[in-house]
Amino acid sequence: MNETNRVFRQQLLDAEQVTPALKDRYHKELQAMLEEQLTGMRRWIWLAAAIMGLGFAVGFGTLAVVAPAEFPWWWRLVFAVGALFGIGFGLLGLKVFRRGALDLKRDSWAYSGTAWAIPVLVVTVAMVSAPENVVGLRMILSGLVFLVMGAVFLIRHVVEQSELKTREKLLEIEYRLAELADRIQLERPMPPTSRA
Amino acid sequence: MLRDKQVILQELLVLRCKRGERQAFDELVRQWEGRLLYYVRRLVATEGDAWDVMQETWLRVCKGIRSLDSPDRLATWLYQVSRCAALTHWRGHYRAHARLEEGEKLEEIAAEETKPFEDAERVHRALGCVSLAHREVLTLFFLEDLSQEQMAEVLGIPLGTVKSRLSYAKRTLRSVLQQEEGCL
Repeated sequence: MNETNRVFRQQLLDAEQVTPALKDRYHKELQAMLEEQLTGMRRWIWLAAAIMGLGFAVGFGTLAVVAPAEFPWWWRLVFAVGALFGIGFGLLGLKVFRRGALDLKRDSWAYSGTAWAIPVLVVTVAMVSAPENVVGLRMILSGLVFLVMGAVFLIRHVVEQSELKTREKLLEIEYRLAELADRIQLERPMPPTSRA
Repeated sequence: MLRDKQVILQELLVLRCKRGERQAFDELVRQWEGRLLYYVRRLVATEGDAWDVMQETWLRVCKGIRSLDSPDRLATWLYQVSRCAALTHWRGHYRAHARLEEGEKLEEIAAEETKPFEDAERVHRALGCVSLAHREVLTLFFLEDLSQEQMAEVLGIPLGTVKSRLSYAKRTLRSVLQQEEGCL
């Protein structure tokens, strides 16, 4: 786009008169669409959930450490992972409480991550502790199906994120090259003008 | 051959949005709000409707940006989304107007004008006096985010029709401007 066209476009955009009240309302609604403000009671519920999460973390952590020696190792593992989830949920709750708003995009990812991890953990424990008979075999097989599905979901997400990051890095390099080319262009000495 | 820096920055912004970065989405809204509002405002009857359509547009963008495979299609995609939102909002009315333009002929391409429009304020006012389909194509032309091929994609019509419609619309706009001048 040349400079004249750019100026013309800007003038055209500036000619659009907007009512400040309507624009304000739109911005508020847009903000509300992406971020849900938590009013008094709901904010405190988040704090309560955070405290509860941290409480569970302490409880599970204690059980993982002080469980009697004859306790199967996978139970200790369950307690330890349970403690980690408690900490994670507690921190998320504290963050939301401090912010006073729920980020519908980012926080929903955190919830779905937790919602994905808990069943995977439960299924894994059920598979590990399955009895050594036909019922146990059936438990392991059905658990495997679930775990494979969970793994596919996770791998897809990881691959997608890595691909996006790689593309981002490549674009950053391309941008730097373009900048460098511009700088070289500017610093290049002007060709001598021919004398009449 | 190196690409334009602005294009690269736009693609980077899309990738950041796809990764779920909230700030990137806010930046996207900030960068495109003015142009999309201008376009949408030309499609709907009132300013209130335009803001509603804008809200719907961003909701669709927020939900759908992960499915945008080619970041270089951002401009086309944003105009498509806002157009769809406007159509949903104002369906019956828009259809009735759009049908009026079906009689356009391709031979008008030959008569395409190249003389630029100069007074943005007057053009802005005159846009309100041309038919909806012409207004839409002219708005996309003046905003200069899209090539004619991309405009065809946004409008869902063949490239030839975009050319003829644009040519006819420019002439109509010029005659409106002349009439306005004559009145002064």
